Amino acid sequence: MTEQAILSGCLNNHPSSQKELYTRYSPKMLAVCFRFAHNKEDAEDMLQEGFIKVFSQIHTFRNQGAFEGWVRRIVVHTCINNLKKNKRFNESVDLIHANSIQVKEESIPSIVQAKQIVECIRLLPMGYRTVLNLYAIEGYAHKEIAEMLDIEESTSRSQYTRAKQMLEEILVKKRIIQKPQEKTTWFKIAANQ
Amino acid sequence: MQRSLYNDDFDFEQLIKQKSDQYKIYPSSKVWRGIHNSLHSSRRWYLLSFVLFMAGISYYSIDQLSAPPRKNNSSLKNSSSAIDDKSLSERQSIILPFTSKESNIIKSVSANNYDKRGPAIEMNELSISQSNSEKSLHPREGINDNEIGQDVFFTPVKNDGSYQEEKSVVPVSIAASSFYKYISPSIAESEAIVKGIEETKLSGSTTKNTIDLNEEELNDHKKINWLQENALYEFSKPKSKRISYLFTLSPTMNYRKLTGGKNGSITNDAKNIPISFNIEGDVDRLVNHKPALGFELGSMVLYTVNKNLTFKAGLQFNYSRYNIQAYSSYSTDRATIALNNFYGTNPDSITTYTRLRNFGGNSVKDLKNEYFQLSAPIGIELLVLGRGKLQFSVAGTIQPTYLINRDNYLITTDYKNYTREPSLVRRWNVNTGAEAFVSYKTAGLKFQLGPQLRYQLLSSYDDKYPVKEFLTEYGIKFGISKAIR
Repeated sequence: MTEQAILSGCLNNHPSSQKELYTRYSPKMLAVCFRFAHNKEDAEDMLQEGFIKVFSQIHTFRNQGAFEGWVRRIVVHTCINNLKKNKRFNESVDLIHANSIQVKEESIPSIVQAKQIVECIRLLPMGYRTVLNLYAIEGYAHKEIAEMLDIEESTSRSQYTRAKQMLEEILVKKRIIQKPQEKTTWFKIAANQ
Repeated sequence: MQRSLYNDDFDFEQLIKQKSDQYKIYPSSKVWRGIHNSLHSSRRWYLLSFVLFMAGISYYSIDQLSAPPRKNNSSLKNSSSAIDDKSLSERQSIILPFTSKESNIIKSVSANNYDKRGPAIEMNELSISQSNSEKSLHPREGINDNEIGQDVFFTPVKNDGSYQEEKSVVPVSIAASSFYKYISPSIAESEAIVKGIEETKLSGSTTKNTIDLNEEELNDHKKINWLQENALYEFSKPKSKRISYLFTLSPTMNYRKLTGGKNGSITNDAKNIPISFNIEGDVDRLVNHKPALGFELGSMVLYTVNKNLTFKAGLQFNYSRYNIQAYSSYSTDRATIALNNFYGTNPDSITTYTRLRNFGGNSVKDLKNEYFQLSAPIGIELLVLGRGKLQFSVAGTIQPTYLINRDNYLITTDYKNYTREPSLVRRWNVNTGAEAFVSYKTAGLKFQLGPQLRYQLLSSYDDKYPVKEFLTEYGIKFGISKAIR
C-alpha cells in the first residue's frame, strides 16, 4: 500500500489504513520515545498518545515535507509534554549531574550497535538527555529547545555541552569509542562499523 | 545557525544521530489496542447500545410473557385499628368452604407456630380464585403456608356464568386459645362471617378483642342468606384488557434504489472498460448492487380502541445491508463528489482519495454497506377477518428513524469511484411500514406471522449529494403479544 493510499484511508478513518500506518512507523517512533522516557512502559504510553494525536490531526498534514518527519515532530512534542508534567524533570534540566554517573569499563566491541549508543544516551541524567536528544538527534535549535522546555537558551547550550562531554566519557568507558584526544581515530572506528 | 557553533563536533553528532535513527523497538500489541479503542470508541457504543436495547426488550418480554395471569382483584382496605397485643399473640384461622351446608366447627388443631403480626388489623386481600367450585369443597385447599395465623375465607361469586370461590385473608384477633378452627358453614354463613369480621375491623374498636362466634352466627346467617340470594349475582364481569405488549422479530431482505441520472446500463464486462470516458445514464443501472439479509427487532405497546382498530407505538431496531460489487486498484484515484447548488453560485465539491472503482480495476472487491437504525414506529392495526382465535389483520406504521452509523460507501458523482463521506449521509430519516398477518390466540398469548414491507421515504444521503438512495426491506414478521392491562 502506498503512503498516499494510507493517508487517504486514514483521512477516512479506516482502521486498516490506520493499522498500516502504525505498523510502518511505530518501531522508529517507539525508539524516539524510548530515548526520552524513563522506561519502556512510559515510552509505550508516549507512543500511544502520540499516534492518537497523529490520527486525529492527520487532516492538518499539508504534504509539505516528509510524512515521517511530521509524525516524528508530533511524537517528540508528546514526549516533551509528558516529561514536563513530571516535576523532577523540570528540576533536572537546571542541575549538573556530571559526576554522578558510574559507568563500568568494558572491552572494545567489534561492532558499534545502534542499541549501544541509545543505551549510553539513556545513562545520561534526564535534563542532559533531553537536550542532547533534541539538539543532536532531532535537529532542533537551542532557541526552539529553550521554548519547548521553558528554559534559557544559554542553559540549553550549556546542558548540551555537558551532555556531550558526559556521553563521550560513557562511550569511552564502554569502549565504544576511543579517548577524545584520539578523536580522529574513534570516529574512523565507529564509522567503519 | 545554532549548529555552526559546534562544527567541530559534527562528526560526533552525526554518529549519534545515525546510530539513534537506526534503532527500532517494536511495541507490544496493547499499544495498538489502546490507539484503536481510542479512535473507534463509538463502535463500542453502538454495540453496547444494541446489547442494552436487546437486553431490555428480552427482560421485559420474559417478564410479561412468563408472568402468571393477573387475577381480577377487588381489594378492600380499611383503616387499621389498634388491638391488644395480648390477643394478637394467639390467633386463629378460620377456613370456610363455600359449598358446605354445615356450619359446624369440624376440626381444631394446635397452632403454636404461626406468626405474630403487628397491632394493626387490615383486610389484606379479597380475590377471586380461578379454581372451580369442586375444588372448593375441600376446606383446606388454597391456603398457603404464609397465611397461617390469618383468617382465610372462601365465598362464592358468580363470574362468567360459573361459580368461583372468593378467598379472603383476614388477620383477626380471636380470643380463646391457640387453636385453628376449621368451620364449614353454608355459603350464606361464610359470607356473613366475613362481613361480620369486616365490620368488626372497620369499627376500629380496641376494646373488643374477642369475637364470640356463637353470638354472631345468628346475625351472620341472616346476612349470608341475603348475599346468597342477591348480592353474589351482582358482581360485574371484569372488563376486557385493552393494552397489550408486542415483541416482533423479522428477517428482512434489503434492496436499494438509486436515482440521479438518465439512461444507460452497466455492461457485463465492466472490468475492461477504460475509466477515462464520461459516464452518463441512470445511476441505478450503472452500479452493480446485490440485496443482502438483515433483520428487524421491535417492541410495541398496542391499544385496542374497538374490536377492529388498534393503535400501536414502540421502539424498533433495524439492521439493513446490501452489497456492492466494485473493483480495487493499486493506484489511488481522486474521488470527486460534485454537490448540488441551491443558491445559483458555483457548485461545491468534495474530493477524497480512493482505490475503489466502479468500473475496471485490478481485482473485484465486494463492498458492504450496513445501516444500523433505531426507529419509533407509530401506526394502526385493522382487523379484517375473524372474531375467534384465528384472525387476519393489516397494519401500517410511520417510523421516524435515527441512523447510528454513517460510514457507508458512496458513489462519486462521475460514477467512477466509491468513497466514504459521512457528512453526506443523512442521520434522521422517515420510513413507512406495511404488513399483513395472521394471528392466533392461545393461552393468553397472541402469535402473529405475516409479510411486511418497509420503505424509506427520504434519501439516505443529504440533499447536497446529487445521487439519491431509497432503501426497501421485505421480510416475514413473527410477533408474540400479551394483554397486560
